[in-house]
Amino acid sequence: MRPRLQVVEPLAPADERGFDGDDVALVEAFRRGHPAARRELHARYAGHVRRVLYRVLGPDPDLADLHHDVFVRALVSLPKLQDPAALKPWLTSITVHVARSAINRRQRARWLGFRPPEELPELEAETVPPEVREALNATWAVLRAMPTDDRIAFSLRYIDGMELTDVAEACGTSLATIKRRLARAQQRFMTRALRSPVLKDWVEEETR
Amino acid sequence: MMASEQRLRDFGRRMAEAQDAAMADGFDRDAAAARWEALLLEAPPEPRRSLVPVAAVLAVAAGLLGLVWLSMRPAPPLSVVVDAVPRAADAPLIAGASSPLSVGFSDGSALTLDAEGRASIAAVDARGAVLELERGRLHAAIVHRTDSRWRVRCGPFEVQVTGTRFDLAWDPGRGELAVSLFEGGVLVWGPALGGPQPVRAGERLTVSTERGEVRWGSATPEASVADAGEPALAPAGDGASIADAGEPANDPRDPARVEGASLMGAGEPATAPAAPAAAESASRTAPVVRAPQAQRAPEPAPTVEPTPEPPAPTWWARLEGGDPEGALHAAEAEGFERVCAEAPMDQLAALARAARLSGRATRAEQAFSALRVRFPGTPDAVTAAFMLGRLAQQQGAHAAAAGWFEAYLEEAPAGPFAVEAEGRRIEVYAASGDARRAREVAARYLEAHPDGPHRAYAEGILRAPP
Repeated sequence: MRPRLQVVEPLAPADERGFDGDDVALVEAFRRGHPAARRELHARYAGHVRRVLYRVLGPDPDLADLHHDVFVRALVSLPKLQDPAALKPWLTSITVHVARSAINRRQRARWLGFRPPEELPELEAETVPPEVREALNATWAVLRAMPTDDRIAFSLRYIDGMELTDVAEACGTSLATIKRRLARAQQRFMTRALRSPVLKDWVEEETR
Repeated sequence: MMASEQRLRDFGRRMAEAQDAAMADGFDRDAAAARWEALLLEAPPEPRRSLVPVAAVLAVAAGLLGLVWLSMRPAPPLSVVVDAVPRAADAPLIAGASSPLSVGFSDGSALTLDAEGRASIAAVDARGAVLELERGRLHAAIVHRTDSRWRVRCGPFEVQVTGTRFDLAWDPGRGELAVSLFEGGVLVWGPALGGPQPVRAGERLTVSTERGEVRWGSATPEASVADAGEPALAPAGDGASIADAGEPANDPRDPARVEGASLMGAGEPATAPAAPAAAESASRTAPVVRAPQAQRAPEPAPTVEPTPEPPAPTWWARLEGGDPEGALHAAEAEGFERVCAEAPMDQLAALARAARLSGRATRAEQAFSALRVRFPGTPDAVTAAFMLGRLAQQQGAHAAAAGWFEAYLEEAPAGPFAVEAEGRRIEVYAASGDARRAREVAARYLEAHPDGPHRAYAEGILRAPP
């Protein structure tokens, strides 16, 4: 009788163990159905997608599901991607779309009373000092009170540090629209942050 | 403005650094990769078709218009033939004491229910069926089509099938499930699995809810053929179980198999003894949390420019409008099975609650079950286990209720319904006549929750003569 692992999980052929190549090659290989390319897509961008989701949503209980949802959508839509070199911004736009849908769904559910506000968790990470944790939670609280599109634009621009054109592309809108959203978000955030006992010092500290 | 811009960018940079540190706490990269693997298992690669000239496309498109029109018409559900006789889909499938039962579907899929087995077809449409295996062993050969959708429920377990050949055995008395794959792949959800587990050709998965054990072994066609004429399960009381009956896994005479088989406690990831390839082993070494979109075509994603969300379905609009009864009727009109299979998590949870609060137990059970299957590990799915226990208890299905309460406690030992679930376990064991288990659970309840709402009831159980 053969050992179980030889039967169940045979070694992949050499050409399937890894994938080397840039995004254009990755997309082409993905479209040809190359198994290693399909794995590489996840390996290469799982962290990026996670980061963008986290920037927009914070410590959300559905983060793992939304992360998976992004890749499910990518799996379906990748054959239609027109510019393979734009794989990363394309994935970013899907991620933002998924995050926006999640926010909207949740707002509807909360409005209907199906999901009480206290279910939105606060950060409890042990890796962050308590005072920083407080600031992060206060930041998300301010962001959650903003209109969805303004909140997304603010998070991508000021927290993730994206360029304005990248934010516009990720949000699927024009540069002018993004500038308007950011102006609104900036004013709203600063007003609330300066009133917040937790955030006041953080924001003012930057000007000292 | 410039000053504010710079202040915010500096502030944001510090927040980003803090977020990056915090993110490290919560991201299970292995679990995410395992879910992706599970998704790929259900979506085999399809090479891109070569481009054809636009003129040819237009010409063909004109011809296809008629076909599209035809395809827009709802396809009729699969028809069912039992032992070569056409049969209504909702008739129970009961094998004889010594003879198996053959079930054929009009798409070419075929099932054989071994002697003493009992099953039913809970739903059937043009794409497949939802089967409920109440007990016994089922041999299945499901024809693969791009849109096929088959599921088999066995107690608290659910097996999602596309095209494949497999054996499934379920012993409700022992709470044991065995899945042997000969072709294709399936996903299995249920207690002790820690999320959907892909089972591939050549593998055998056995799960014991009672012992919280999960075993992996090899599925051999010989075992299937050899077992085909035998009773599906060992008779109760002989000490044998699904995991043992004809089970080649964990054969102590085969050191390789003993080493290869994994035995794990509830919620623990299966552990492969060696890693042939890191990516391949990911789906075995980490619990898979969810792969809901693997079972159906997800809604199209935006290409470069995201498109707005599609209009909300009618049933959701009604629910949002505060009309749960109207929402349920609309969902039924739209196809309740399809709604359960496709609705986003929040909407599905709302529908399940609406059904339960409207007294529509069957619909509530469908929606909560769909939550469990499609979004395992989420708070809504965990709560659904408790709600399914409540529904089963209301219907007098004590064993099922106990199973759901246990599933809830396993997944959320300190959850908001944990004390209630523990108390209700006493009730269902007592109602089912299992006085020993009722007393055991009552004693544990009083120890853990001396002031709990079931205190008086638990004390009464312990005072009653054994």
